[in-house]
Amino acid sequence: MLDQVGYDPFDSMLRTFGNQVGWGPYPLVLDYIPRTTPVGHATISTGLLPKEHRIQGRVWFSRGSSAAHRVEALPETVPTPTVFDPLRRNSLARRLRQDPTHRDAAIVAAAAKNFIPFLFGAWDTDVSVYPRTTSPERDSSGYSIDIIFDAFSMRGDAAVVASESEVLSLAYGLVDSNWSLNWVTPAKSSFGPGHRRHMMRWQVPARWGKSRSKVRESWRHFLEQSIVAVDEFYTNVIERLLAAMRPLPGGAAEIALQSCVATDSYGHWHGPSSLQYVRALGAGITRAIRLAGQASVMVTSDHGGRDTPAWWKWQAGSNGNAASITTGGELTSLPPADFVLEGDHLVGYSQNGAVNPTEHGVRGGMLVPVQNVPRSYHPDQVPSWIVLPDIDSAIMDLRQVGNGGGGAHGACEDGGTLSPVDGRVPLWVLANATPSTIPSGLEGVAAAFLALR
Amino acid sequence: MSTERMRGDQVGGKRQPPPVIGGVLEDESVASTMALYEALRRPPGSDLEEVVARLRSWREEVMALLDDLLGPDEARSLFDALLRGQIVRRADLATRVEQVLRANIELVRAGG
Repeated sequence: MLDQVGYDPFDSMLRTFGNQVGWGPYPLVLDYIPRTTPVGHATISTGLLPKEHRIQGRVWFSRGSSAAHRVEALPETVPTPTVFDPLRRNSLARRLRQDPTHRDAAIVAAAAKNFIPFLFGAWDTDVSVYPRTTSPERDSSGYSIDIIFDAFSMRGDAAVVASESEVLSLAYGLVDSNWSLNWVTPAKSSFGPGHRRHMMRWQVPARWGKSRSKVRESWRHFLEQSIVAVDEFYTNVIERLLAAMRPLPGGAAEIALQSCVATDSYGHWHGPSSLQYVRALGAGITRAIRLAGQASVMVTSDHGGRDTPAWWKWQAGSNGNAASITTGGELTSLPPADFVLEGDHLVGYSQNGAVNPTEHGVRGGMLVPVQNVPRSYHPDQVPSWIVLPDIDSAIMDLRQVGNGGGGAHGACEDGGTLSPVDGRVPLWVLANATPSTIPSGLEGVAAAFLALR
Repeated sequence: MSTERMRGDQVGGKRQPPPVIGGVLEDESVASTMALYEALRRPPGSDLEEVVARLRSWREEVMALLDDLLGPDEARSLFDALLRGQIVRRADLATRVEQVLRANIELVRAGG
């Protein structure tokens, strides 16, 4: 999975590698909103539309409840049964386990965002690898970021233990001697007796300072240089863990589920037209070609991206003022709501009264075809309204310092309708034979992956 | 379904500060750095009470950032001045804080 890669830039980049590489790319339609990382990953993993898998963003609400659902809580808690059941029952890892061909397969998932392996169905993998947080956090002796290795099988647990030294060496390939890397004992986790958590702590250099803001500034600069290498690190870790689980019974398959973050990071920081983004995309394609030397590879994306030279200022209400958004110099008050800035959409959830998706499901300055709403939101989770930005803008709460730049994802408005930008992502297959299933929508990827040999 | 832009007079309802869930305001680093940035850039006549309240609510984080940027002695005296509502003309510091803020915002936008 290459995060935030639209069909057109992928197709264009692939042409630079020659026309005979792999099958495709085939265009996949994303006929729903919001088009963000959690929603896209869940759609790919489960083969269900968002209204069915119920993952509506990083944060969302059920109607009549003020308790937020958060995908980032997935690594720490057994998820809320009702909302997360469709995900757990239909995840890619679960369906692989239910397929007689792959029942004994070794499955390793890895991503640079903590919730993504769980959208793949971490509970049914052998090992899932991810950072506990997205940036360094305070600990007893400074700031550090923890990489979690969740083992859900005995052989997965043994593979992590057997790989500790080599993984440490791979990690030191990313940082200089001012960092301190160690395997540490993690806090107790709650995924049951079959689960064991391992954790590698990356202590950042002391010169990064004492404040979280300053440390995160240094972290941001580190990622600017290293984010492609971070993806490569996770690829190498997956390969190491799979190797450590050999031999597998009956020649079962080794399956890697990786979400690569570099395109998403550079897409947000510099925009998909930037040289940095092109570099990340090229690196992702190159990595896929390298892996295709030893296995079949399927490449796709969770959503597209667009350059956002402009921005719309969103401001939460304070001192009795209503929340507001400024578009084209016009200040607009927003109805009272629980607000979620989800990707580049501003979503409002009203806890009062029923919501009629036909009349109120999507509303704002931006017209979105109402027929898209039923594909997008579970009836119990329809927001009161969504503000979609125009094609050049991101919605941000940056006040004085926000002057646009970079890029954003998600759906946007263009000329009063839902823009086709962000509406398609690629499916590219590197295999010996033509793919037996070529889907037309993102929700068809899981079936195509299951058919891959 | 209306395709008009929402206007303030269309929405009505009780005006109240909404809970901010999700978006960047929830982020500790962005919120604390923003508080310091706004205090340094406070124009004459702005709402002093709110600026000081935000500084106080992020006291530990703001102090740690100032300490990183200026050293402990200067950080303490400058923070005290800001809490008293004094306008601090330190363009160099404001620029540096803005750089930190931008980096933090970018991390939030990219989800880390």
